[in-house]
Amino acid sequence: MVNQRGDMTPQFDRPPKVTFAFTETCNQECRHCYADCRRKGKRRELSTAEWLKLIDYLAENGVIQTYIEGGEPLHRPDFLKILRHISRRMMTLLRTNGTLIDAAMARRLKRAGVGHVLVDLMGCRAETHDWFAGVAGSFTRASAGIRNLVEAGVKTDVLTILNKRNASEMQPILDLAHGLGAERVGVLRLYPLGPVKHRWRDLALSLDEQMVAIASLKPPAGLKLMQSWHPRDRNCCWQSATVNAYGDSIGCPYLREYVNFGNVRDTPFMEIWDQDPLYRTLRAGEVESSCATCDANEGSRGGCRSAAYAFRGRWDAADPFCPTVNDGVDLRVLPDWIFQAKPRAAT
Amino acid sequence: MSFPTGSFRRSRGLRLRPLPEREVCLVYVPKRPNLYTLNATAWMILELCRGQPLKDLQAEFYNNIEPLMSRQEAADYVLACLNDFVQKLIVEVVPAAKLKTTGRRGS
Repeated sequence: MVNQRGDMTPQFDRPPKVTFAFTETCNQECRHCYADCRRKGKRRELSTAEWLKLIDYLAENGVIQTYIEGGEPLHRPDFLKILRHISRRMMTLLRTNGTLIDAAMARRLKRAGVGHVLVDLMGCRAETHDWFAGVAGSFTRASAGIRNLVEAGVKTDVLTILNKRNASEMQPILDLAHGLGAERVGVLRLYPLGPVKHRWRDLALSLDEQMVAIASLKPPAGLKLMQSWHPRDRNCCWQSATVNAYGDSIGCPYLREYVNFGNVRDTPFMEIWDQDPLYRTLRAGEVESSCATCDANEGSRGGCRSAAYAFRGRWDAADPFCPTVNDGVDLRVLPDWIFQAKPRAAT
Repeated sequence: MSFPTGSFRRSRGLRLRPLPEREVCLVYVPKRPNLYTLNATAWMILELCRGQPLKDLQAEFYNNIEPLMSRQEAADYVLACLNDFVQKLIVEVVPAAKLKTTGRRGS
């Protein structure tokens, strides 16, 4: 549908769900980090007061769910205060490396009203996971974190990012997660963002290798597997809203290097949501081609916009992570422009 | 399950977010944190829950939905829906006597 402005109409007047890329600080030194996190922030992150004010504003504008990620959210000392403030009015999903969640912290999270916690495991054994995390002992602490959350009665999932170094451990990760009490495992794609793009050659699998790895997985009874390859390649942009640690409105965490629609310190979030032309275009969900099976399953067209832009340099291109519309894109090879400080495809 | 004597009202702290674009309503239950998606029919029943007993709710729902459902179908639908709502803490059952005493109504 074309509206009076002449652009495609986004599906929602107001966002029901928002992601907070809450901090770019972290207690780990992950080789697969998308945000280039440090122990201390590189710039001035939103203060506690700024987050609280933003949360109130978003609640008043109809936001009913927040997904909180980092960096490592628990690395910021004000996280529990922020969480308590959100959880009174919004469902919360927290993505964490799990290493800071001892039994007492798990109980605090429960009392603070956290809805769901998602813990990253990059391998089924310490050698693999700790290589990615860059800190010895991370695997043991993350596994304990999952166990502590489950024991505290917090719904807990495991997330992992499929790549060359851990592909053979996907099934054992599922089994391990089930044994630790997780309800679901999400197998995620590797994105060329942050430091990981400089290790792309060592970590990236071909699409065929990825599809074989996904197809071979057999989740144990009672464990749900989540994945976003064909036939479940979705275009989330129609409802995406993300504010990063510095107040930038970036649509989706996976768009963090490609877009900045405006800063909530300067412009009210809803003004950015309503008025940025690219943001509106992305939310309208119009793409040049798409996979009918993925469309039918996910109710959206064209797959992930970040992957489409990274590999094809166009916002309306089809996502090459779906074999139906891959059209010969080699996912092991990145375009040169991706390595620029502020990557922008040639138009 | 049946609720012969209770009355029904929305749980305290419940937050609703209608999505008219999709003809559904999101419901957040902070008491046991979860987010549910209600279809238009379930959403209508939730909107009707203002402290009435089952029979009144069934009658109100039927008045809104007929002729798409028969009276019996409407009654069964309300019962199944309330059962689901109570399990998910979306709706709470209040003894009729308590409602009369306190005069409280659902938010």
